[in-house]
Amino acid sequence: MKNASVLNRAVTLFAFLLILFWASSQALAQRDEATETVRVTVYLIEASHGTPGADPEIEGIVRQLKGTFGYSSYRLESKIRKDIKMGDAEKISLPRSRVMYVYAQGYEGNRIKLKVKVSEKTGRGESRDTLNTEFRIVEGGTIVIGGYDCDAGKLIVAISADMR
Amino acid sequence: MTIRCEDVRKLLERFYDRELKGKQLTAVTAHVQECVNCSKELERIERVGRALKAHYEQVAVSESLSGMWNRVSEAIETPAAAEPLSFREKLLGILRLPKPAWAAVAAVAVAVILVFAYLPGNQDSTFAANDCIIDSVVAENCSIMVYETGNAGMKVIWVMDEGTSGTNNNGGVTS
Amino acid sequence: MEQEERMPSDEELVERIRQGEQAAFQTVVEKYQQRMYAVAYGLLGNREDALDTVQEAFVKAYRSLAKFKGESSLYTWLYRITVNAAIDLERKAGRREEVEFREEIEPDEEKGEYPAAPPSENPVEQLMRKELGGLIEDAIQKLPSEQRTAIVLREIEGLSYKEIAGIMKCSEGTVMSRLHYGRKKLQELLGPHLE
Repeated sequence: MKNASVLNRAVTLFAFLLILFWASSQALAQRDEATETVRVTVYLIEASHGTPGADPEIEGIVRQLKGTFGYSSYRLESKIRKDIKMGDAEKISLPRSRVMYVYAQGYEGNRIKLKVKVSEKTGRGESRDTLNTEFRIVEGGTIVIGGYDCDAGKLIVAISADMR
Repeated sequence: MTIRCEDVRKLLERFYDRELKGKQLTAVTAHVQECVNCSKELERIERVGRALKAHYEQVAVSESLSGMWNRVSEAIETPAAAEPLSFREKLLGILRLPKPAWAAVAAVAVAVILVFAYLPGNQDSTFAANDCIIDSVVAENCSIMVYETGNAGMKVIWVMDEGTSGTNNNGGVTS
Repeated sequence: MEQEERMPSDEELVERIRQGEQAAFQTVVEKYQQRMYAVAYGLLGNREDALDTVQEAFVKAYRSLAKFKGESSLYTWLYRITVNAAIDLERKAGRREEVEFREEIEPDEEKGEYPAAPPSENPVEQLMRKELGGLIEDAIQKLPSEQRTAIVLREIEGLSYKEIAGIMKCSEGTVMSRLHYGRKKLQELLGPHLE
């Protein structure tokens, strides 16, 4: 009788586990498919060898950059926040007639999947893509794309993403 | 007191913001009445200011705030101290669970671990270490370098912008 | 002859709230919600956060009414709480550096509700205003948050440099600099649309 009771409990527990497993998978899958919105925050930073310093708002990013780059000045030119629905894209104007497109592609394995394209005008009213990259970023994570010439130094574009 | 356009330009925003006093105020007031260029500059500042004020006032007028009182009164009626107390109660409730309920909690934990272990795209070993996984980078007419920088291993895609020169342009990389 | 109902003064309303009359607080909410919303919307840039901020500010005000000494006007006091609530919300969302609010801020004007929209506006004018509104909001969100805060407090609320400096915990010179760079950027972005 005792063995039967243990078996009953084990079967119940197993059934419970299965149901939970299925329910959790469904919930997570739904999150992937839902038309969610990604909030993308783009910091346009001018890095130069000018007066040392960095805007307080980008101190965290600059601290990371300083490990690799030798610039002394990091000036926040502008901060742009865009809410992008999954499957949609937003356009961000960069200096010197460059344009950045940020595409929200999905939510995979706890990461936000983004595609970033940088285009520049060729001079005849046409434009060409100079950079095309796809990446998966954790919520609140930051990736940096930089190196473009701007007024007094180089443009650094820091992109952070969060789910809304 | 006469004042040059160059000096007026430096004081124009303070003039617009009504922060000038005494002789400076008198001088700038007189100057902008006479000088076409400075009065145009002042008009430019005023135009943006007026547009902002008008827009945000309009936003507030257009927003139906009729439900605000209901929101506020509901929140007021919820005792401010209730939140931490209820959390503590919840915690105590969990600790007082009977054995079968503890088993269920353990089952939940196992299930959550299983779900995460089997999720596609979550099997890469870099998950905990890196904020970002770059799947592809394609560059045309320029070279690129990908760095991992700082304690957090932040990813940096650095474009060798050949827009102005063909010389080395790796952002003054220190190492 | 019908006598027009007199709007109770803020002092009377505060006294009645202190005596437990919730309807008096409702009058305060309805009187000031629009101005508080305009500032919160300007600072935060979206409707939901602005509504939450205004709600939060009124709740905080109600709960700390005992601390209101009547040294400043009720509106001034509510206004301080709104700006703080907006700053708190941004800080919680990790969108802003630390900025504190100080007590000595006292906007000098007592302000009520905004006048309603002009009824004479035709559909074309409405459309143009909406388009310009979108451009204004995009432009202001492009500003770094310190510049945005300074601009909103100055241009929408008409606060003095001293008051803004108190709110943003910086010098008046820094306020001027933030306003200058903010305006320069806005001029660049909006100027061509306002000619």
